[in-house]
Amino acid sequence: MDIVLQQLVNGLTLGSVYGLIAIGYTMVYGIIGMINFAHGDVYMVSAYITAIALALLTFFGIESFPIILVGTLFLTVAVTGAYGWVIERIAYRPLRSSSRLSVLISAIGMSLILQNYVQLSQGANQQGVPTLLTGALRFHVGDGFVQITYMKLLILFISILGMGVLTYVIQKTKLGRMCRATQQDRKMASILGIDTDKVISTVFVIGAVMAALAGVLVTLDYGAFDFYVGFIIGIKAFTAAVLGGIGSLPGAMLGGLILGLSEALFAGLISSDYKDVFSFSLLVLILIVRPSGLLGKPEVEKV
Amino acid sequence: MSQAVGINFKKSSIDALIAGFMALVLFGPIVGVVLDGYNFNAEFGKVAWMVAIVAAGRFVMSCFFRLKKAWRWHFVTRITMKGWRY
Amino acid sequence: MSNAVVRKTLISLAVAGAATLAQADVVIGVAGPHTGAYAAFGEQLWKGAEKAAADINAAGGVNGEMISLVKADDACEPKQAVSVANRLVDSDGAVAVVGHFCSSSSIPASKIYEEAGVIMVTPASTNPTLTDQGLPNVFRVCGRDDQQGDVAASYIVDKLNAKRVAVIHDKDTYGKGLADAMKSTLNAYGVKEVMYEGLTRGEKDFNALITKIRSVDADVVYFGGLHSEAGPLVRQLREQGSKAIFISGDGIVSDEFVSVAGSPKYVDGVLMTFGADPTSYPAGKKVIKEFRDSGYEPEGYTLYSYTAMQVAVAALANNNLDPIKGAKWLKSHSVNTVMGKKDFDSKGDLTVSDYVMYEWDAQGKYSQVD
Repeated sequence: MDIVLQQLVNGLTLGSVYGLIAIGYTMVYGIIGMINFAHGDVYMVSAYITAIALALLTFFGIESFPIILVGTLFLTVAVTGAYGWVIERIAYRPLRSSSRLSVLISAIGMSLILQNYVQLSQGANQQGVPTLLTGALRFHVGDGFVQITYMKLLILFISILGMGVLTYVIQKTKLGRMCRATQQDRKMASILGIDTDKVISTVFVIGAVMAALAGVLVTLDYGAFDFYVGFIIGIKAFTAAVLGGIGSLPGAMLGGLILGLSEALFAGLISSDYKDVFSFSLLVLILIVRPSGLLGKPEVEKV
Repeated sequence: MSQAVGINFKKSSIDALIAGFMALVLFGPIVGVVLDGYNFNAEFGKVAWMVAIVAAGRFVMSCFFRLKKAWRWHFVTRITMKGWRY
Repeated sequence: MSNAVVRKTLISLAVAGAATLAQADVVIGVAGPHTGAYAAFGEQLWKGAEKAAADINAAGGVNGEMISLVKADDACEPKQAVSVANRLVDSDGAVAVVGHFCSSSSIPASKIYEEAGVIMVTPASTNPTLTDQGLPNVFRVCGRDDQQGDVAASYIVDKLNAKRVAVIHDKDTYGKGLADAMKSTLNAYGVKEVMYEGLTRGEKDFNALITKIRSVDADVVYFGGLHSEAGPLVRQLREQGSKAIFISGDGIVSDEFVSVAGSPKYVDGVLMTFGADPTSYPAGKKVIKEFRDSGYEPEGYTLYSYTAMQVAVAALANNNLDPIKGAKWLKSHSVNTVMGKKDFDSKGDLTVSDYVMYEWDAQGKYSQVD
């Protein structure tokens, strides 16, 4: 019993991280119909910036955890957001009216550029960050226990907060209305006076910021990363986005949670060798029943 | 998409400054602070070079696209019409 | 094709040929993961080989010819290993190769070297298959995973008296081979592992797996794999409150293991099997001192790489630079290296294996367990 509960906790935290990154994929797809393959690498950049921010903050002698956390979050979010903006500006905007394929190739190129750029400047070795927050909450269940570390609590808290704020922004604010309008019909939106280029830029920045949140949290928790770390987690997050219905914001979060939970439960209760096989089979099954994902709307072919 | 004629040094300089600032934000941490275990080695010289190159390049481009000649190049108009604003 | 073009091509070919003849260096490839997640090991390989080549050149080279090294980067990927192996034998004209690092790269590459008649001396690939293929040109100056697995298994049974052993591997040739070797010896001792599972290389979240380790109540966790996964694994194991003893093989011999694990306190007590301290041989004192004087600590595989270079050069030097004869010669002659005298058996393995158990301490350093 305690093991199942523990696996639920593991899956929930993993899933919320997937969800955060999946938001970047889903929003970009929703608004310009492209798959941003560089998104996983934006996450990777944010992991590096986290470690760099930590190193800088400790260099300046700051030791209290809350200040370090806030400082790291702020720096990482700001710089990664800038990366998101610049990537869109130089790799995607010039191709705005070309075929979808060119943008896709451009995205793959951007992903390679980011990986190699980080590898060249930071070296190819494994990087790590020191453990800052230790300790855990333990609940005794039967004769075992379920534990959730404070770091995992923080992951859950910040990702729920991030998703909540984002949902509020998209649903209630003027910026959100502009995003939704652009998503529905870009040409009409621009005729009605919405600066769609700006909206698209904003969406990329939002995606990068969410990836940065995930990057800070995951890096602080697992402590290990290299320049290639964006690949696997990017694929997983993309899967989550497709699972939940690509283009749908709540879908990305739901997809992330389902993917994380299914991986953890399968790895924990059956076999970790085949957990990826299981989660991708689940994806296939869901796509057979609902081709546009769990919460996705069936796509109307745009002419 | 201003069909400007002649070089406007003030505007180009501002463009270059903005591009340089962006380059500083992007390259500053990743290139300038090279992780070494839990510590780091500063490589600010490299960052300075990269920022200088970006700013200079942007300045040249910005000046170039204000010349009437530049607009005759078909590929330039193609790029610029599709979202590059100068 | 017009005559003029043909003539031009011929001339350029002749010029190119003359250029290579004029250089007539002994080209030796250093193949390993110079980039990628395992680049730390590639650097160890390169440092060792570079130093060996410099020392040999300073002492007059190989029969008067200078060694020139070619860096070949396989990134620990089998496909890339094959293509760099082809490049080394075809366009670089290497007569010997020091490398590769990962067994999964060495095995496919070894066949290419065999076809080209190039001596391959790996400083680090320990998978038994590499020499069990029966290729005449393949040698290693490190041990074999089955020997390594034996040492780990007997340590677990005899010294630790552990009954509940969880075996984890990274599904790669090296990691799985090592875990399997350990497991079969363990079973021969009559201990059945409580868990045998693989994890995915490149992932960092192993919490689900660790909860499972906790649920089977393992006393010992044996991991076959490299430090990039071992670090997060041991950290998350400790974070989940498990006190199980963590044992791994020679894939975690790097200081990066500590930084990846998040803190030296997590690696405290981690055990690993590795060749007897390569810095302990009297023959290596001078080289080690020179390394340290130049500000580089010859850790992990550095000296193995130096040794591999010496072995390859000895084979070439005593056989008039003929790699095929050299490979035959190595099987019946011993070579004096910085790691003592090395003898090879008919497969190309060392005749003496010297695996011992090391333990990491709370300062993030490792030392031999006696």
